[in-house]
Amino acid sequence: MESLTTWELENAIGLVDPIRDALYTYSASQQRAINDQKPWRTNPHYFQNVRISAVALLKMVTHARAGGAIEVMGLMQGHVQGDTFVVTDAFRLPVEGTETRVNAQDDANEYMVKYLELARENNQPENVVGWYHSHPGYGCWLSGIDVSTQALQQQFQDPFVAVVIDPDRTISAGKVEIGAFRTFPEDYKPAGEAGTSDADGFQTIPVDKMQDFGAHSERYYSLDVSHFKSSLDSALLVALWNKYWIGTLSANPLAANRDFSNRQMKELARLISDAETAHGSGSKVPGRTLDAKLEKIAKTSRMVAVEERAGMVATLVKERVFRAPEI
Amino acid sequence: MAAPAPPNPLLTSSTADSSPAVQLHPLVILNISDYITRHKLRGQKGPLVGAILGLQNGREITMEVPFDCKYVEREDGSILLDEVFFKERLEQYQTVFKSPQLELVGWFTTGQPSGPEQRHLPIQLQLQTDLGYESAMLLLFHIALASQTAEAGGKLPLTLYETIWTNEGSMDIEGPERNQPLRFREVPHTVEASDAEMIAVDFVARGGGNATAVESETTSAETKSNENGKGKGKAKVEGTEEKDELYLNHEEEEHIAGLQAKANAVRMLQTRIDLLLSYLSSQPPSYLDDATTPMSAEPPPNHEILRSINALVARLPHLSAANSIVLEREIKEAKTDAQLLELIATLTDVLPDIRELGQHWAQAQARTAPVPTLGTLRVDKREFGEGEAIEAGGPLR
Ligand SMILES: [Zn+2]
Repeated sequence: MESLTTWELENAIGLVDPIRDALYTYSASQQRAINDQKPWRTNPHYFQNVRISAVALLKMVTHARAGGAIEVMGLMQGHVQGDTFVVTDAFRLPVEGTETRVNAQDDANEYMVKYLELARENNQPENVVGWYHSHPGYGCWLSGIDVSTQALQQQFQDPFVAVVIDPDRTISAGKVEIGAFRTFPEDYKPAGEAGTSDADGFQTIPVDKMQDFGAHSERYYSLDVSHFKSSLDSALLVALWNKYWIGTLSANPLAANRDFSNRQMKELARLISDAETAHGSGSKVPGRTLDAKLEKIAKTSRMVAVEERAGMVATLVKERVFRAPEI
Repeated sequence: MAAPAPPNPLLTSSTADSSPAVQLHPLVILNISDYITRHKLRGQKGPLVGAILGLQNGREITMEVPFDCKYVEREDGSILLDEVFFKERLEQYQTVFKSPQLELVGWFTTGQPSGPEQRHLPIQLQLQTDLGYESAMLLLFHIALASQTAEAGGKLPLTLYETIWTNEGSMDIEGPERNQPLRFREVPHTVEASDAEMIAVDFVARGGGNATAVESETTSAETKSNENGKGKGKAKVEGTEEKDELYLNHEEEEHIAGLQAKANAVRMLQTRIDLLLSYLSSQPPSYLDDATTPMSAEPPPNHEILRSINALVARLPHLSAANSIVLEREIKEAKTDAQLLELIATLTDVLPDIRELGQHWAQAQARTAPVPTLGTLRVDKREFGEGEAIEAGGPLR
């Protein structure tokens, strides 16, 4: 008995703030109430945000990276708050590759059930609120198979969100390339823009994937992705940073990202010539579409410029700090 | 580590012939942190225990993936791992961490900076003897120190221990394990992150996102948030800031975050250099320069440190001078590229405005000089038998 009290006492001295860290709480009854109401049923755009915990993000990104050129997948645990999916944790599924996915889901099912059972046994009662998978090198969007997988989940497992991570671009861009999506009901036609055109990031879809991308981009929309961390996480991240600050100084993003920014430039050129054709005489493209195209061009070039500028800053800082004084 | 007043009877005084090299991954640390926060906020009782998976290659060990464990309490109040839970969970994790195949390398729990205590022994022994993980290490996370990490020069609030069986007397240890001459020995570690892991950690570290609850839980049911939900979501995420006056757009935030990261890194470099300088200036003067200096300085200089400082200084000239012309050209090219892109962005930014101007122009044109444009158009329309209104004629549709 004595032993137990010691553990508790010690755990009570914590760096935990009930308000700042509120997302780490969980109320099963509240989740049940939301599930009974199903407010997403009446509004195809109901969910707008996904917030991912530090651990969940780390687990998903490293999983995607470990898969290399192979698509990997896993599930996310969490809860729903308002128009937001709160992802608290993630776990891998023993499934790899695109083609096998639909069948493999049955095999993975047993694994999932057992995994969640143990999680619940050890005070992690969160349900699965979505799945993640990797698109190594071809950007964050939903393919035809992805769309049908997600649509099926939304039909039977809602609330459910699809997250896609591109590990290759994460490395080349030096920042996490991630997207979150929900499909529309079968009979629903979104007004105006296509599914991914309002995505924060911008898409360079390889030619061999272009058709798959275009064919389904109106079946889904993207959600805003952001992360969250606890007060304790923040304190530890400061300490962690002390271990890798050298990387911050020595990095050369301009060189490391050259391929990536070249591809982005090509995409920008394509967008511009596309808009030019759309604007040319005899074109039947409606004015609103042209507006959207111009906006996308502006957004894309802004983004490329911002990245380039960040790279430039890195180079200049390095130059100033490390260049030997003239002797 | 400064020795605390009463020596910890569970720590061995013998020093290791060769300390294992442990690489600790950020996921392990953040997972423990996550576990603590959840545990606390959900009002859960009892100890926090978990397993750590990694790779072991001789004395080289990585700690990569942790998972929380269920515990059982024995009648005497001591804590053990729930073996059924542990074995099943381990199998599940090993199924999905196959290439390379991760193994159990240790376990974690919370504890004092002074080291392991009686209450930590049962699980350690369970892992080493009942479950057969003879070299399982212990990671003690010191919650009490966590709030001071910033002041502590970035030292992580944790300590790693390996165990050895000794024949040191165990008289001063009470409890059921008094006959086990098992002792802990502190093991140094480094923090290692894979490329993707580092980017993810950086991503998480930088952004402002704390874990304040999402408001509008009840209201959002009636919010038709699809149209301008974008901007709103962003503001909510950035959270704590004041509204408009301080509002920076995403680009500016990123730019500032990037500059801050650089500034911090430069500052860090400066403190490290200062440290070396103050170390050097605290050294006794050389007896080679000054004959009156006694030959045996007290304390004696650490030649290893001095040699590595010397090596560092010797390397400096090689870093820049050699290909400075090539470097300079490269920097110039990069600058031009960046400026060119800046220009393109500025130009494309105003495209929508120019188009709007064109449209207004066309409308104004149509009003002031209706005859030539509208006249011809009207003829066309009539020929094709189309409707009355003409939307917009002119140079830009
Ligand atoms: Zn996919």
